[in-house]
Amino acid sequence: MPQMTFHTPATHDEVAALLAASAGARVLSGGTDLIVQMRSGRNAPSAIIDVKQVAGMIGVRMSDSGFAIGAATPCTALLNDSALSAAWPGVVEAANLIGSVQVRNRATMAGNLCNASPAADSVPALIAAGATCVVVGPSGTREVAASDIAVAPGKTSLAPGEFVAEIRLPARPARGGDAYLRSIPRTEMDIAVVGVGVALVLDASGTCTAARIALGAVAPTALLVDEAGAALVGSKLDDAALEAMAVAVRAAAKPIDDKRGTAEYRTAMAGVLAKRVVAIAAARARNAA
Amino acid sequence: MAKAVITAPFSAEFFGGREDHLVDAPTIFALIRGLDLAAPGFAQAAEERAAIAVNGVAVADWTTRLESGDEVLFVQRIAGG
Amino acid sequence: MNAPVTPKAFKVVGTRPVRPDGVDKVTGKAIYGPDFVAPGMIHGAILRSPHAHAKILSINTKKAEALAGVKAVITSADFPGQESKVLAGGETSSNQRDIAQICMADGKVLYAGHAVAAVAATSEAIARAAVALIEVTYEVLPHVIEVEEAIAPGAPLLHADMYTKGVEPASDQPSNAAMCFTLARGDADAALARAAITVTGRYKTPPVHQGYIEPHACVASWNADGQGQMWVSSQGAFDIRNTTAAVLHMPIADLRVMPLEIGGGFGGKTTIYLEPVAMLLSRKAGRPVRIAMNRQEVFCGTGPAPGSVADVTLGSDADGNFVGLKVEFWSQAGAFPGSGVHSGVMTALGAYTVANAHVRGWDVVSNIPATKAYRAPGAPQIAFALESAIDDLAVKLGMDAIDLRLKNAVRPGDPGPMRLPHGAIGYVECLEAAKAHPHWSAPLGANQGRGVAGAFWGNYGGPSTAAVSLSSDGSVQVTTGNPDIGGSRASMAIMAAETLDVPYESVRVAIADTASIGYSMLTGGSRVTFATGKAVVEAAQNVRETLVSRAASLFGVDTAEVEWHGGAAHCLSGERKGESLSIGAIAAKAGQFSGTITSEVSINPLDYLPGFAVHICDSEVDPETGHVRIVRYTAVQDVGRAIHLDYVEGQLQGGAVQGIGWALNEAYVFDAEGRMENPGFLDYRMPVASDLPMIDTVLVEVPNPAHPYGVKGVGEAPIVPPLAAVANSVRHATGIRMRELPLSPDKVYAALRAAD
Repeated sequence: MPQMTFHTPATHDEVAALLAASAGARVLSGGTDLIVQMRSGRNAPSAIIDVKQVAGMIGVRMSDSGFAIGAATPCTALLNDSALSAAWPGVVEAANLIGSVQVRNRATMAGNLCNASPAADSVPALIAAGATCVVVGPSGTREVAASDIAVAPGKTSLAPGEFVAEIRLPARPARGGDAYLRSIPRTEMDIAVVGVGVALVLDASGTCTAARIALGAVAPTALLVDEAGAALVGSKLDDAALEAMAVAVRAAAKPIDDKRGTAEYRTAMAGVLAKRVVAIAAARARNAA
Repeated sequence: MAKAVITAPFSAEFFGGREDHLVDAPTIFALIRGLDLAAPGFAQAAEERAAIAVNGVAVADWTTRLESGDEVLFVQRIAGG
Repeated sequence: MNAPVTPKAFKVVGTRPVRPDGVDKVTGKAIYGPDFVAPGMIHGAILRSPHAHAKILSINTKKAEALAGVKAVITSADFPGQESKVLAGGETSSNQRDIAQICMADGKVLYAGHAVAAVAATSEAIARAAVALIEVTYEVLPHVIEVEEAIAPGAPLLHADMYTKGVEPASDQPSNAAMCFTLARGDADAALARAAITVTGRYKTPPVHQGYIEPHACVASWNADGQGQMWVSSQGAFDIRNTTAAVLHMPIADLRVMPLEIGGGFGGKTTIYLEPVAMLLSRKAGRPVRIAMNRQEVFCGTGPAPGSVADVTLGSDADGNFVGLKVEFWSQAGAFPGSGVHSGVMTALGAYTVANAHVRGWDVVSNIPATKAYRAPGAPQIAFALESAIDDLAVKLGMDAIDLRLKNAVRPGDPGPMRLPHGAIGYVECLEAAKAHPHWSAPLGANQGRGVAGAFWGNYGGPSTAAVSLSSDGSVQVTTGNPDIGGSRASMAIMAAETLDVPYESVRVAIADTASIGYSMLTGGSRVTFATGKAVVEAAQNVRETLVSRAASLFGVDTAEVEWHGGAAHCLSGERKGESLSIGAIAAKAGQFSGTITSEVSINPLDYLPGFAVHICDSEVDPETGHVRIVRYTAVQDVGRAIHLDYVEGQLQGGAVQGIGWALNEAYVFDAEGRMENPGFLDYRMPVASDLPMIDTVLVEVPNPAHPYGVKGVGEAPIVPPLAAVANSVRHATGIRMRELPLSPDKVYAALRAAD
């Protein structure tokens, strides 16, 4: 019987070295995907690298330029950070739709991102918010857009030995608001059939000056739909602009039929949820003024 | 004489669809023995699959005495979860 | 409502004491199926078929046997030969050969997940690794999943030797239809032809899982001398023992089964899957063996409730009196026959008087796991069709849906579905209580609709044994052979305490193993509080009679001069008039009599009465997304008399919730190869707490005169109405009659768009 090894490194370099040493090594932070996959037989790591002992991996740090979130920070800790919750409520609520409370006490956004599920809840919200990731590896550190981490279901752009050490969010723009909604058959403990994240900015007159709309579960990876954001910019979020945005969302959605929903239903719901989520983000932007 | 009323599926399986049978029998045991003579295998089917009622009251005990004119109903035994 | 017919007649019956097994269960001390450990125990694992239908050409276990740590490997070749033989035991009978083949495929696999071989090893990881080393060569055969395909001409046949039973003339062609059962009265076709109003439709439900949280598990130890022991959580240790012994050709008394706490069964734990496998592994390995399923194995390797197709036509006169009913019902039995066709057919004729009816059910095999009982087997499926049709009829008549049911409801003395006249039933009382409930007349919000549905369920009695023994201090030991699934320890203690007129806390209840008390039929058919309760009360009455007789001797008077109340004997005459002897004082004097006071009673009561229920459901349908939200729900039921109020209400709530799940999102989904796509609680969507409102309950009490405290079975009736109650509420929220479950958001959305 092959033996699996378990490591608790203390530095970024040690993590990178351990990951680089074995192709079957996997990062453990919350373990809410990894351990489930191991139990089901879908993943049999040669080594488990628990990154929670590494300095800076757990916790949220605020600065003038925004927020730095340690990669092993559990989702419920985000909820307890009042500054982050006030600045990026959409990101925090998306992260706190994953699984159950017990799961979220362990689960992390970085894990959600690196698991590379097209249906990951926090990912569309992070992409809409313009989040970046600090990626550390044997050859140094680089900063990558959150939208560039996942490249296909279960696959990331991380090179051998690389891992996400930190997620960064910009400071909230003035009169900015974000939000995330998902469609699931139940009310919780479920996987998104469609998820829509939006971050937008209004000017003093209520005209939209910037908008980023990202979709989950309608393509192999989460999608940033530039045309949908563009349809809102310059408008006061009137019905015509919202409909144009929804048309762009539906056009961008390329879902498949599977056990969780039909392609037709997912496409239609992407448009419905996009309108609803823009309304929430806009209300937050107005309140933030 | 007691009247045996054999309902589906036993009537079709053993008696060509006939439901009513007059049998001279002092107990349910005797009645079923009599029916089994006419239709071999009926006793086993009754034991395994039938519920029995005498004059509208379900009974489990085949030694139950029968009076002349009693109606003995055989119906499919039904499952529960 | 909720008021007993004779208020305050009882001291303990109808109260809410703390359950005696509660502390162990909430502190994690209770030992459930997968928890039990025997000294020297090793671990079993099972290889399961990836194919829905295939011939097994060869099984090579050499590599598995060679792996270090492997102690035994078995296949069907290790099972004794099986004859086709009906095993009576529970209230259903099953074929011994089918049961053995469900435990281990013999020559052919009939569903993806069918057990093919098993390993026992010194660790679970080694056992699983060894299973992966077993090489099986299959010849894949065409498979069939849906009943409509399974009965179509040219369908792949699961069993070459199966001919449809119950058809005239007898069939000479093998078929996937195992059996047909008809209940008929009058002339349904003629009555429907002259009916003023008719409604008709084809209804479909998918297979659904019982949803117990505890997976199947057992520990078996089979000694070289032929005697064996098993530690199993099940709905009945005696029937598990009998069936396992039959499959293994053992004398029944050579096998002792220790019941463990059960983490939910709902009908799914009325049979064996692992037990003979663990026994054979144990004999081969010479060690106790535990096998515990994981969740995927529970879904793919054990029996769900059958899916169904039902064609229903219901006709009434212009006043709404039902005149004719025709139902054709196909039950998706899975790999082996025996789904709840009889009870489904009976259910269609249980709740309403209709002079002309023809109800025919078909038991159809297909390549999914052999289905098992699930709370009121067969009834929810057929009631979904019937109670939806009644709602359509009410709409056409412009009549209140409860009034229409009241007009046609069965009353005491009316003929029951199996011709026996109904006894002291309470359907009319339930309908009246529902109509009077504030829920029925409450205003509805936008996009909301209200549905109602009724239910009949036959219930059962059957063999039960119970013992009541007094300790020398007068504390009371009650022993039964039925596992505590729905709070039965508390209910048994209440009935014994009431009968002996002692405090509830002085009565303790144990669930004995199969060697320690006489046979009790498994816990099913809503029978335990009724039948085992009746045995407990009889035993307690015997103990009380002995107490009175001994007290009379101690007082030196006739027994007629002794009165029993307050847990003590009171002397009514003679020198010691006015004195009393407590239960403890009498028990302490056992040495002066023929020994300790104990009574064991075995009975087989069949004077049970059916259960009736009415559920009201309000739902809100999101017109843009198709999501159905249950906003208010009320469950009304004739419970005979509630022994422990909490557990009776809990049964009503649990049944309603399981039925709501069945209606809204639950379904087995199979891919093109016939493999289940959602074998876990993530994608098999049972409702979660946030999906549901508080389920309001109304206990209607029409006592069963044949039970000392009036008990009627309550566990199954509450899962019968919800499917139609939910669908009817969606009908009234949207104007759309949906006849295919589940009413998941995508399906409701598609129906809404189709109606645009």
